[in-house]
Amino acid sequence: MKRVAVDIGGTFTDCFVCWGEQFLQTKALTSHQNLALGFNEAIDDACVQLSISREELLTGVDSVRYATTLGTNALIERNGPRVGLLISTGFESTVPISRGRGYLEGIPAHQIQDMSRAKRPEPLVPIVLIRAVKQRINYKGDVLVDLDEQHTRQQIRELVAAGAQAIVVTLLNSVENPDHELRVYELFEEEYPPEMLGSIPMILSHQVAGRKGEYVRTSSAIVDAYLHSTMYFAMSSMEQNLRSNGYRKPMLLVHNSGGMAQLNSTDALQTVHSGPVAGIHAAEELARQCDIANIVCGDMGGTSFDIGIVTGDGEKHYDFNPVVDRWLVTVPMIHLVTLGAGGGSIASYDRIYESLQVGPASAGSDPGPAAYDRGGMNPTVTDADLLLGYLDPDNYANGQLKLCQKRAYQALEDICDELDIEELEAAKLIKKLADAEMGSGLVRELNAQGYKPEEFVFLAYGGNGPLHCCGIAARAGIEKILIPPYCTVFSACGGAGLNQMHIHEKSVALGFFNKNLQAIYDNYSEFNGIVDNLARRGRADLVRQGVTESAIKHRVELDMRYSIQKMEVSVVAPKEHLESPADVIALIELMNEDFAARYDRMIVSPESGVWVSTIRVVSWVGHPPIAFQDLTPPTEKTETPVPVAQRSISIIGLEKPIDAPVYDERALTPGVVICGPAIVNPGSTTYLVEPGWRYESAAQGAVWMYRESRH
Amino acid sequence: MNIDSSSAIETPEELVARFLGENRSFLAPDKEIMTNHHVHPRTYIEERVLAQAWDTHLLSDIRTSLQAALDETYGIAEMTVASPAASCGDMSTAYFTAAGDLAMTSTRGIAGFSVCLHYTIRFINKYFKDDPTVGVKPGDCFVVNDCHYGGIHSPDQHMFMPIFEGDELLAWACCAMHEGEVGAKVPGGMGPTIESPWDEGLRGSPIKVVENYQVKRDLVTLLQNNSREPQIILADIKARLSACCRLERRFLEQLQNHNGDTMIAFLRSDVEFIRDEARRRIQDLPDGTMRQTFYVDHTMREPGLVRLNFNYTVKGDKIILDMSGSSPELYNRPINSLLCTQSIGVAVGIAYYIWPDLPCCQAILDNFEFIAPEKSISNASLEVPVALCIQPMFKAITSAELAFSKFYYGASKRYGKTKAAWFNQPQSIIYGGVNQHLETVGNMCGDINGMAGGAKFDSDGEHSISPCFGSATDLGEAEDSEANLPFIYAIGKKLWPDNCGFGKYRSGNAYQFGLMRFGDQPFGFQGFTSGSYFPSTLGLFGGYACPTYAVCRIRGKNLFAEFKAKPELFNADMFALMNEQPIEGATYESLSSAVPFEFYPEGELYMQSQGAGGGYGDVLDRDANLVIKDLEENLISHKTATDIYQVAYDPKNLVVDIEQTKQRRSEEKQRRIERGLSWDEFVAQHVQTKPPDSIPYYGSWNCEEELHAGAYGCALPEKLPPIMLPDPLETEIAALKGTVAELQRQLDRCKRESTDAA
Repeated sequence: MKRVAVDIGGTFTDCFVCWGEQFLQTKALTSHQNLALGFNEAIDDACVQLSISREELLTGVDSVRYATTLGTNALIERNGPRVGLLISTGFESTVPISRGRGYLEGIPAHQIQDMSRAKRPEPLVPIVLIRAVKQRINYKGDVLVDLDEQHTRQQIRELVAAGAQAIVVTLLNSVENPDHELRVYELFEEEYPPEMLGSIPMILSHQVAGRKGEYVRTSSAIVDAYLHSTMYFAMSSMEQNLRSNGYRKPMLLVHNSGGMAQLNSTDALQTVHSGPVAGIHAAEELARQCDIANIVCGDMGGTSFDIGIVTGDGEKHYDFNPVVDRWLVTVPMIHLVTLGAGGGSIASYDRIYESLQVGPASAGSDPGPAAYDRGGMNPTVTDADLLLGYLDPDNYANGQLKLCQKRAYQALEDICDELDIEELEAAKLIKKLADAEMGSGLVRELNAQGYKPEEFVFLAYGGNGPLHCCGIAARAGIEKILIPPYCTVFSACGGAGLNQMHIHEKSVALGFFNKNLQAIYDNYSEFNGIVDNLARRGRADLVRQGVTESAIKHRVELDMRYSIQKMEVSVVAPKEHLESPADVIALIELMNEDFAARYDRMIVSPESGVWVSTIRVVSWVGHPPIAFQDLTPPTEKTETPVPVAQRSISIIGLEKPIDAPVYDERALTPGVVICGPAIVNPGSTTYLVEPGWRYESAAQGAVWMYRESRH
Repeated sequence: MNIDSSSAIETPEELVARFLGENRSFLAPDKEIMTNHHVHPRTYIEERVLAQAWDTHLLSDIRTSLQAALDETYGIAEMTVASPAASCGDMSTAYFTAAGDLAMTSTRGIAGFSVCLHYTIRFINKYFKDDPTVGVKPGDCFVVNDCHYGGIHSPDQHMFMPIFEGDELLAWACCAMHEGEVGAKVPGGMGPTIESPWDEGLRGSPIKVVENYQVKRDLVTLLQNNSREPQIILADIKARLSACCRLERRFLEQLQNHNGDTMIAFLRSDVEFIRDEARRRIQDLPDGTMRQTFYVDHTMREPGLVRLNFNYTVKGDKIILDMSGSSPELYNRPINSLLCTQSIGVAVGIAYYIWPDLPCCQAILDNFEFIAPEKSISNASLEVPVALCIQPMFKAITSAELAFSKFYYGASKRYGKTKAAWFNQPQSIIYGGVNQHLETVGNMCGDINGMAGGAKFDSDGEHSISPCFGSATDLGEAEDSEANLPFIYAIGKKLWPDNCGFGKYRSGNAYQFGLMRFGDQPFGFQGFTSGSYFPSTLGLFGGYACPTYAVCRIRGKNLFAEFKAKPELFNADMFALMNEQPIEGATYESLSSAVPFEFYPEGELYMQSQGAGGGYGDVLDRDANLVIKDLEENLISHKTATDIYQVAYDPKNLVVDIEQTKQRRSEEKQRRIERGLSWDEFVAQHVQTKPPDSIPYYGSWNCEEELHAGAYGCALPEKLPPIMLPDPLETEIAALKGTVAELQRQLDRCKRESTDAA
């Protein structure tokens, strides 16, 4: 297997190269002005390790997979085109009003209650670029009012004259009957033929999202339209860079649904948050290969802590209405929860509760923690970690950054004065609160999804994961931690193992058990027809990318709910088609079991009726996964290496600092066992083995931590 | 556990009180409890526990965990409850101290629910805890929906579970929510035609419906039997029980890590932290009085001006809110409110707009005193209906917004941003009937969440964004509603010109919407708001109030058939439809927004608009470019741009004439001066000795102590008889009978004359 996977983040470009049996991880600073530069630098680093040229590498690999934050950045920087909107008459203010809740998407939780400052973001579609289309279709797809074509032509002309550079069309219930949206497109093409210079794109809402909900469908189409040209030019440029370096195959883009596709089969919205999602996929693959039942992923970086869930039952956790930047959209995205907690989280004094609080404000990467000595004045989690002795000021991030203890001390002075405590005490509090915030976040997320934290392994990665994992896990009541192989480029590693995949879905209202009629659903041809249609669209997507039909697989998923509840449960159908009442009842029972196991048997309510609200078909073609070795710690233990140093560290719960051994990369040799307290610093990151925890290294640089006692 | 710390020798008065207490035939709402919004004095145990110093960081640590528990439980409960309103966020989860003080609520949801539930817990503690026929034990749950025992109004149902360590009661967990259907006279539990407490449906005093974590089916069947939607009642009791169990489990997990004393210290400290911070903030305010007066312009059955006074006085570290002079209670109208409900409104206004960094807790109000004469609309008796107490309560929210904005004028430290008031009417449609899936449904459209925000001191307000009583709510999607309810949104969301509070900065605009019935199953609508004649909310520092709003209906024709046959007639705009009246033979009606429930046949259209907030500052100070932007966005009319804002521009290309605008504004200022009057002239011209006879007026006039009471005349508050208003239908029938009698007389006369002539 020869592959390259890249995850371009805000600060670093992470690269994972599979070259036969060799797996390499490299990093370079992201070059925002030209993404290809950072990409090439990371590739070159791998080439040095392999002793081959860049051309040799790129002509030799079977694929280059690419995850990027470019879409998110474009939304933040607002450098997209002027987007116009055509929407059913009477709904012109749907987008400006944004379901009322538009002000709160993407803002920290503590700001949500402050209605005095509530403010929506600057719109992607200004009110002056919204026009009405006279027509109406009802919830079943029946035409109530015919499309007024002459009026529509006039509205299109007005939008173009007003400077629209892309147009989105949303007509009510178009997912039931897209005829009017398609006809608007025809009228548009008649008015402005696509072969003419200056033609602009028109995006139809039903083609972006198959779910009901006129606002979220519209906002999805708007974000898509807004990002389209930016993404197109940037990706084309990347592809061109690859071609000029000898790569001849289509570049593959990682999707936030947990799959990937070629540029020609990717819409811009699908690329947002693709990096973290690739990390979840790597966790999934690792769980499958290493037979780990349940994993909760925690990616702790400088500014955020991303949480994802992988369960042994194979259930996919999607967000169907994720938030992209400040916009609520509808696209099946792998479920991720982001907390505003990281190394840059700022500590401050809370006058109300007479105590310390950490976050949600963050020093980010610029200026970053005070210890970076780049102008940051606020005390952060990283400053606390430094003062507690966990970080080596001269060997932080492979020595790329020198840390300044004096600055860290200075930053803590104010809160020490407020609380009348010493700096070390304050630093301990900061670490404890940060761990508590993230640990509570894990618990909240697992409980909310119906799981028990104690049944999970905590997969800790990201720059700060190995340092804080014991504190976070202890707080969450988790006894086992796995720091995975390639933990500093784990998301890129995930990208290397993805399958080509497409998801198509349709909103439906199928009464699998209609309580009022006391009837079980029996319109099998309707159900099977929808499944076949969605599968056909998935096949077409893959065939377009050169995949042979026989290699394509499908999975049917249903979103089901009890008649009287809003909670939807995704059920993987054991069969693609329905043939008998037994098939329908089997699906209801699957739902009941899942619901009871995850929530509470008390609220399982099939007697109220059972409805299917969405049918989803996942179409994919399997690619060979990244092979993880057996990550079980070897039964034969290796002699613990001699510590390279002893360092005085401060531990929460211990009054005085203690001397702890410090190990280097030799501690990653499989079979090494270390009991906390200890520090392992192989250079790229720092592992803190807290008292009461046992460290055991395994294959491929993986490390397990087991809780032995409650410190 | 002994909640009360006192163990002194009984006085004769106490002996008599105890005798009377032990010989009660009915545990009616306890006035002593219901008029005490203050934090309970520390109990003996709390005093003992807090005698030692506690590590505030340890308490913060517990807070983080329990906040996660509340939010997690809220998230699951919101998705698993059956009540449509609660599933849209009209609910809350909370922890209370053993004595009943609110310590923490969920981050999301309607915090106001929890602020009013200490009353219920205190009632249970006082009357049931030591009663061997009831008792309070692990695994018990109580449900309440009668607001005279705690809560806002009867459509809300709340569940409480005690949390113990051994035999010791440590805390209470609560899942509070808007249930909706409680078997009232009208679907959904509230409506204009409710005229008696007995029309309000189930009057649930605290009832133990769960023992040993098991639902008591006999009692729950009783509750179900009092509702049109028995299935939803059961489902929601189960969902709330599940939520309370989850909250108890999380609390006990903390107990394992700490101990009972720590948890008691935590809960009590949280209450006191908020109380003390609120006191510090009040101390920082200048002493003085701010007066706010509002009018509810409809009793829900007939127009009238119903006065609400809110006079806030800051005195040291106390605030006194005096509501004297407000209307007397209306004996057979549903817009009366309880004192405790009014206090919730104040807490909500402060929490969302003034001190948004503080949690919305009862302790915020500990330094407040409330004055409201008994049997007034702000402090109603047990005898009158209160189903629509949200009318006076929403005014209390607005009063806090405006009064504190003024108190904070010039203050060096403000916690919220100074702004004019939010809109404050529940402009939504309550529906009920049978849907296209043959299910019985009844509730309120999500449009209630679309109130617009007031103008800020430095920028315009937000268009339809959230209700005045909550944050993080959702308007939902029309496509989802249409899939489950037998109507279409013929008008979905459409802002319309001039629906703003004008000012230097304008309020947000609010949208119009209209529902058109389809299908032949029985299904109807009702409205329950005021503000059709008199603006509901006010501007600040010279800003305009919001407009007034009517309900409009097109009836007598199936508009589906009309629009199908003639698509050119389909104009999704309430004003065009009402002004142009394009459908021949249809009836076009404009009504006040209190519309009794009625079934509607297919193709009839029911329309209304959400409301705008207040404006901020003088309209003549508004940047002319912002006026033009409003014009471009169709948020104001040309008439407003020229006549109100006094902007001169070319109507063809909207280019502003800066010099002429200056001139116009200068002239307008001159005209203002010319229109100005001296105080004596003003008094002579405008001050009347009594309200106009043509307007039914309720409340004080000219700050006099006497209250006017419409046709009942005026008298001192305690001298007024019960204000019983006639049924408007009977009034109308009587008038018609009179007309018929008169016509009959004329006919008889004509016949006589004709006979005489013959």
